Amino acid sequence: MNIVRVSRLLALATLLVVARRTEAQQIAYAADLGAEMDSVSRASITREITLARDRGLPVEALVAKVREGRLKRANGLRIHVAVVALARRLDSARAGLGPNSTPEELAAGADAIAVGGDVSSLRTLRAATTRSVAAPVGTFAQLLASGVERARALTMVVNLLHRNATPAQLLALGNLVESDVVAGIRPDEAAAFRLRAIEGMSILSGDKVEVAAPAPVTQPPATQSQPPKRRP
Amino acid sequence: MSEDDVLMDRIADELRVFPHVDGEAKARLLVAVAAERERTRTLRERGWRWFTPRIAVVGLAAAAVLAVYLRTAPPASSPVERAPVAEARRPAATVAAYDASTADMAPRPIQLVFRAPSASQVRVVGDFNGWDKNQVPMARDSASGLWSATLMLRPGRHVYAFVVDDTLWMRDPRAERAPDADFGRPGSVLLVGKP
Repeated sequence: MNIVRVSRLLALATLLVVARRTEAQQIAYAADLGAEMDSVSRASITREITLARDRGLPVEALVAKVREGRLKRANGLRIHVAVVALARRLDSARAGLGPNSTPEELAAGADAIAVGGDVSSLRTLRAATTRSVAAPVGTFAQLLASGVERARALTMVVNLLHRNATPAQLLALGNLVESDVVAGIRPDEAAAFRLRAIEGMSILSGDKVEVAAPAPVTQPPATQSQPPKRRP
Repeated sequence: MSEDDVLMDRIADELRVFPHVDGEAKARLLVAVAAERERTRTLRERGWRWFTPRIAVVGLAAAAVLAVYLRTAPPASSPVERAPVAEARRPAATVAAYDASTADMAPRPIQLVFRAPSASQVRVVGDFNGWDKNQVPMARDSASGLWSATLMLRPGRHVYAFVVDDTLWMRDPRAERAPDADFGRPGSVLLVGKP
């Protein structure tokens, strides 16, 4: 009886070890860890990605970081350091955005952390909308990377979210500010200018609702096509 | 000057010369030291903040329970707040297309062009394809020596580069430079979607 139990335990342990090794190999293949990389770096990178996966972090971003490092001819140690740093940023992003965040949201959050964002700002953005925060957090990161001060960038994005700005509108704001800064305009000035322009154009869906409010159902159909009268 | 003095002078002269240091080994060592310092700093900060004898006992017990749980349960998502590790580095954000939930976030065609008359193969890599060099080969126009590829990209900020002949990393000379704090090899910025 004891022998049977011991045999079962041994078989189970063997299965577990084999399963772990297979997983590690799969990650190594996915990350395209080349033969030229030294065995210590290979093992440490694979282990780091496996640990991140076990913590529930999206592995794709880490695998992409490995590929990027290999394309740039970085040595194994440097790639390992970059993967560890990214995994920590993803951890921080999840702490701010919550455990149910999507991989896209976490990637955006990690980008924001990398350029000076903090966990508290990510929490604020998460609380500002019930929709996906991938684009808002991405815009926040882009504004920070462009040099816009953190509190100002956060206020801008939160205000736009409260006015029902679409993801594309938010990302367009980030793109415009970045283009302006590259052209030599000061970051805060560019951010204020572009925000005013978006508000002036009334392209936010929140503004559309205000201007084109539906007419009361009691009115005849003819009046519905007329523009709504403004209050004096 | 005595014989001993001469000998001592020769020994001193020998000792003044610095031994040869391998530059690559030194760089590796510096990177390792920086990584270790960052790791120990984070651990120390967290450890001192939370360490008291009673908490240590409770923590050990909880760790044991957690270890058993993790061995038996599927991977769970447990957010652990960590200090941001890269605040001072400020690399370029990869604000790619994060959200495909609305119609205005639909991918749109973007053509990339690169001049490399003597190249036998050029590929596009970027955050949009996970830096996978096997995904987007470029086509060569034999008359002009231009290589081109048309990608479907969602609005946002993308970082990309060209890989020439499978080995050479080239950024797009016509695009804004995307700094790279991790590996020190800049890419190019592509902004998709402006009103």
